[in-house]
Amino acid sequence: MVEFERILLRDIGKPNSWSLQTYEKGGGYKALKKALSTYSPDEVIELVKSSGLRGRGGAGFPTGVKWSFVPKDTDKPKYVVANADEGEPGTFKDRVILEEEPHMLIEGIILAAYAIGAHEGYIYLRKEYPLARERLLNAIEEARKAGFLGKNILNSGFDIEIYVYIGAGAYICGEETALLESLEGRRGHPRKRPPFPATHGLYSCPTVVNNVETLSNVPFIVLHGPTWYRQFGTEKSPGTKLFSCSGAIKRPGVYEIPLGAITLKQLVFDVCGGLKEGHELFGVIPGGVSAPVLTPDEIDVPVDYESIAAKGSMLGSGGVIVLDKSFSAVTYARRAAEFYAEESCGKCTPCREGTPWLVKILKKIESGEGTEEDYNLLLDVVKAIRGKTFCPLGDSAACVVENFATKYKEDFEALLKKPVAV
Amino acid sequence: MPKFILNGKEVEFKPGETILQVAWRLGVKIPVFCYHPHLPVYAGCRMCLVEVELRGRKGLLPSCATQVAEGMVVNTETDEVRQARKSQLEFLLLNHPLECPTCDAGGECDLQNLTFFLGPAESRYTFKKHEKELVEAHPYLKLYPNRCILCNRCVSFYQEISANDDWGMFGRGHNMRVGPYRDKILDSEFSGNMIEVCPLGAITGRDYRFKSRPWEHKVFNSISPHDSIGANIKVYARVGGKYSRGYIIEGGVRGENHEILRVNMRPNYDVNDPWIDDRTRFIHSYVNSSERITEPLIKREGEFKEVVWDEVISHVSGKLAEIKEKYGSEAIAGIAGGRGSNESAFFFAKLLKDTIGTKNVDFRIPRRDFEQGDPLYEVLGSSASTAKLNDIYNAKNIVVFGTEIKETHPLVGLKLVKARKSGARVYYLGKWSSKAERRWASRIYNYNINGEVEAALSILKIAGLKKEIQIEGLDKVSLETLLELAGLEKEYIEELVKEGSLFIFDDNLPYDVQKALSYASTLLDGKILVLRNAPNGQGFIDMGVSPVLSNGQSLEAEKGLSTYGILKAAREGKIKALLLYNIDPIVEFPARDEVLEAIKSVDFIVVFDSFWSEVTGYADVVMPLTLSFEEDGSYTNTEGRVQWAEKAIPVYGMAREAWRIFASIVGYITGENRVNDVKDVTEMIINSIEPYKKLKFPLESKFKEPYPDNIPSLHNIKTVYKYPTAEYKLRPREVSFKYETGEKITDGYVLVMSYHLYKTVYTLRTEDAAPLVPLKVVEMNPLTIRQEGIEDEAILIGPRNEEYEVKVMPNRNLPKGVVRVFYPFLDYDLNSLLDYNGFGHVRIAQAVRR
Ligand SMILES: Cc1cc2nc3c(=O)[nH]c(=O)nc-3n(C[C@H](O)[C@H](O)[C@H](O)COP(=O)(O)O)c2cc1C
Ligand code: SF4
Ligand code: SF4
Ligand code: FES
Repeated sequence: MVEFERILLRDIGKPNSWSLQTYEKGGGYKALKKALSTYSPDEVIELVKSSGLRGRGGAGFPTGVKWSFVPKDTDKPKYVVANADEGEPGTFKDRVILEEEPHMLIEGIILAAYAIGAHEGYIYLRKEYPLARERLLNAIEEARKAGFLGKNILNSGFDIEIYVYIGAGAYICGEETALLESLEGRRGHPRKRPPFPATHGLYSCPTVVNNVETLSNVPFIVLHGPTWYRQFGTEKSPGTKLFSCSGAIKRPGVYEIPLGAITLKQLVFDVCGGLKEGHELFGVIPGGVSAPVLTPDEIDVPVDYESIAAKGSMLGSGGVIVLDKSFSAVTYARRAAEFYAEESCGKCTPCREGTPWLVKILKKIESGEGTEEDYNLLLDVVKAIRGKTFCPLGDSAACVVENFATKYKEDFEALLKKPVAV
Repeated sequence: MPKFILNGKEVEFKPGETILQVAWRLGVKIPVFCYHPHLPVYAGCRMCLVEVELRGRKGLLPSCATQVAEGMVVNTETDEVRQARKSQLEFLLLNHPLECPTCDAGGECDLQNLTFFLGPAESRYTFKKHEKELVEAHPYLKLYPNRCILCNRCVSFYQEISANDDWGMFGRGHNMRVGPYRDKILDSEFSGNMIEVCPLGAITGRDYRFKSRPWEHKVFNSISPHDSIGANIKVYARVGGKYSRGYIIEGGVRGENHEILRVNMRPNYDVNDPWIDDRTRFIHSYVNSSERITEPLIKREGEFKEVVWDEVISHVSGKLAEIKEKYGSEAIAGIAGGRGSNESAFFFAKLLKDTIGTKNVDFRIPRRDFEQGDPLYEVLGSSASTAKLNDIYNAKNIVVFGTEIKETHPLVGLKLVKARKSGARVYYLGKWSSKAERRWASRIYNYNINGEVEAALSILKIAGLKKEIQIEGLDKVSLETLLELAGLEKEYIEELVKEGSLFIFDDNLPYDVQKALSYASTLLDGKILVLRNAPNGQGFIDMGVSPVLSNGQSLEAEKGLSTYGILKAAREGKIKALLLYNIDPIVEFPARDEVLEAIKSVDFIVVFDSFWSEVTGYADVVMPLTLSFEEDGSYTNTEGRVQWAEKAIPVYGMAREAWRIFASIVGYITGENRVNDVKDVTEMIINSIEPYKKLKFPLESKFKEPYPDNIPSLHNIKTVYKYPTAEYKLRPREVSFKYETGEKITDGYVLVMSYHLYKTVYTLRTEDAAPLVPLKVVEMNPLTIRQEGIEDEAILIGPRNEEYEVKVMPNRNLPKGVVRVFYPFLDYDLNSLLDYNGFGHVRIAQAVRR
């Protein structure tokens, strides 16, 4: 089995990995001390920019660039928000950081706040992670006692507070603008963009929203520098990435792998030990349910942003779901569609009305009642949704269903009622 | 100007404009559902998708939310765009009940119309439709959730424009639905606007439900008769035609089914931009009230006899001439309610002042301090607001003083919400405050119940100190004393007195309050917006229905008696004839017993009104008046804007326009030619009333249209300020007992007169308003209610042990020692306990138990 150096997952397995003591022993908060004593905020942004770090929440947007969009000459307060909503099915990599290494995230948030000039940080945590909540609150308390949080931290003149906000269980609230609405106490509906959160975020003030894993990379970049960071990963996808692997595999779990170092196939068969006895590979979803499925002959592709995108899917959140042949494509499509129909926020017509319709048609086909006409209608509805929704959720629903329906057309045809000859 | 390509043509755009705005401006049609020009952009319905190409990238974007950029290539009519529209319509119709034949919106429904032109011919949806329960959210509103397309317009209006919070969206995805948050009546005075912003018939109004189709009625341009904002409205009345039930309006006599079908908003960005309040929208069926007076009547041997108009005119004219002859013209007086048209007010003043020759004419409430004159005129040299309504949008610092805007001038509240949202500081100072003020005020301070005058004087004193100007009379009293009497904190009040402030207050407030705030505004180079309590209050002043002003000028030494003075003189037997025009002093004024005594002391009482009431019983002659919906006429709103209201329905019974009656009497007495056309009266006004001379005539052709935007302001803002010569003195407060906010007086409570949106002379005659009207209701703090052991009903006891049975409603916003009673006193005679300032004193007997 391939083994890689663990950067983010450094402390996993150590006793009390979530404590300040363990974190500091491994070099924790050194980056913060270094930044406050030697770097200006702009220099921190510059470091992150040249490290090439890309957002780990799904879209892969360059983090340093995002930070540099925050206006400097404003009298409005600024905010850093850590997106810990981790709602993408098949994704559970942030959870490991939140539960096992909360200080890594906290240090990342403080550095981000220092870089953009924010004095308040929020962690938007999914409700289903009660242990993470406990450990985060504990870690924040520890950090405050140690002088990393509060007024004038480490005598630098910089003030920073971090608050934990618990979501109410909606997938859409992982989408950054819906998250901000929810954080403001409103309905979790995405906002119109532009303006982007960097200029009009929380309470219409400049805000940086980053994924937990993204922020957890920052201390390493600040401490060791971009060149060190870039020794991992590829030119366009630097660094390591956490992959949460699930499905009928022998060793499900979270793995840290330098981007592009191995192929998806190696990840499934070497790292995860291949499929369980008696299971046959159907396909692999590389980046959470919203990433289109890759068929067994498409998975010989390096795990980095570009290579997977070239196959028509996306690295997304790194939630690798291994599908096996116990179920038909119709069932997989129906399960995915049900998720989207359930989680559609309801703001826009095509997603709100279209996703439940997809489910109904898929159920009809699954039960053997569907005809060729229903199959065509399914693709028509997909077309009526795709490219017309307010946010990417509805689009994903359409693409995922379309993907199953076209890549595994024979599974569908097998279930369609044949026209009876008269 | 920058350019882009729209449907193959190069067009210019203003930076910041959306594709939709440019397209609509150029007449390019793009269908919409969620977009509404007066609401924030939602971009949810996706009906307005158009093809946009920019820097090599092409896709469908919502035109309502996409700002045009240089170099964009936009196509609104590609196959893909058309297909997208069709798809959205198909989606929206999946669960739509298609009950168009029984839906109120049929014929004016965007969903129906767009489906007809752009939609699929049939549905491919073979599954069961959603079914949701009907929701009654308000006595006048019903929601049909099955019809709703979740466009969010109603919610945007409700939450963003009116800043209310008890109507919104619930659930998500296919479980999403719109509706009220609680099963209580919606806590909004603007809920009816949701009917109009709804693109289809999901929200319906009770007055219009199942009644008509758009092609069956005719629309008349009118003005809200309910308050002095003068909201522009469209009145829908049934007309004859093939499909109607066959009532023809023009020239016809009013039939039983002559009805106003509904009242909608008529956008006028200077006045109501474009919204209207629920009272304006829903309260109109009083035109058919059974309490309408139908015939002219003369009392003979204690009984009213129906007579013809000629007879009543000659009878009254003869009587008036006789009394004038015998007792002099000063023995004749007139009190008006300020509800009629300018034309009628003009002839009322003309009849009394010119023809009879008395100055005893007023339309204000009988405050004793109003005897001194007109508070605005004293300071500003003109009795008019120096601000326009829309100056609310220009002011950075706004102080609303003493007026419960929600109850009396609701639309001002909407403007204040908008002002605050765009960054103005809005302060409210009042006896108490409620959720209504919290919607727009950035800061709220409550002064002592009896500290109103001192609160206003504190503001003036601070303004004087800031400007280093000595204010005569005020120099003897320290700011600290004033603030202490007012119960206010110095630092807070100092903060709100700013250069350029806009002061908003109403004209029922004490003379000294009005004067002090007017004065403070001049010191601060600010403005005042006076909210007239009478719907045409400004018009009545301008027309000279005032004992101190004629034609906008002070009568100085020759001034007549104010309402208070008239009533007092009457009690002393000095008034022999009293003309009551649209006013019932017995139920509309405090101090009922004294008023009644005054009425009884007058020999000859003529009542001109539309409804039977208390005072009609004491009248010698009663003449039926038309209501605003039944006549043409002009009205001057509180900012001095003259607006025309069209007649929408035929007159009721034998009722006549008031101006016609007064003119007949004038003609009868003087022999002058009678006037027969209302426009001739308007012309007389324009020719003789100073500020109205600026109105260009002939206006006739313009009258029928929504009145032109360019009517010059009637009142020149650059008035010469006359600084008050009268001394400001600390007057002994007229509340006759000691009272501090929150502290209970040992043996009783303070009775405070106030107003309620749904308790007016009109709503009390509107049957369908019953669930909203607080009949026989007083309000008290719930803690007091509990302390007193009251359950629903109680008996209030006056100083002479007289008893009043009332319903007690809790109101958390009231100070503990207060019992709030509502004008007008048609349902209970609690005004017997009120002094002329609207204060009284009661005890509470043990609760009535059932
Ligand atoms: C429907 C939807 C759900 C999302 N859920 C999450 C999530 O659970 N966690 C997350 O970090 N980002 C999520 N995102 C991505 C965020 O919108 C956003 O891009 C991200 O938080 C930015 O952080 P990054 O730049 O560090 O990746 C979601 C996006 C969409 C459209
Ligand atoms: S696509 Fe539309 S309905 Fe679906 S989640 Fe996004 S905004 Fe909400
Ligand atoms: S009730 Fe009308 S306005 Fe409100 S969301 Fe439904 S369709 Fe839109
Ligand atoms: S009108 Fe643009 S999305 Fe509804």
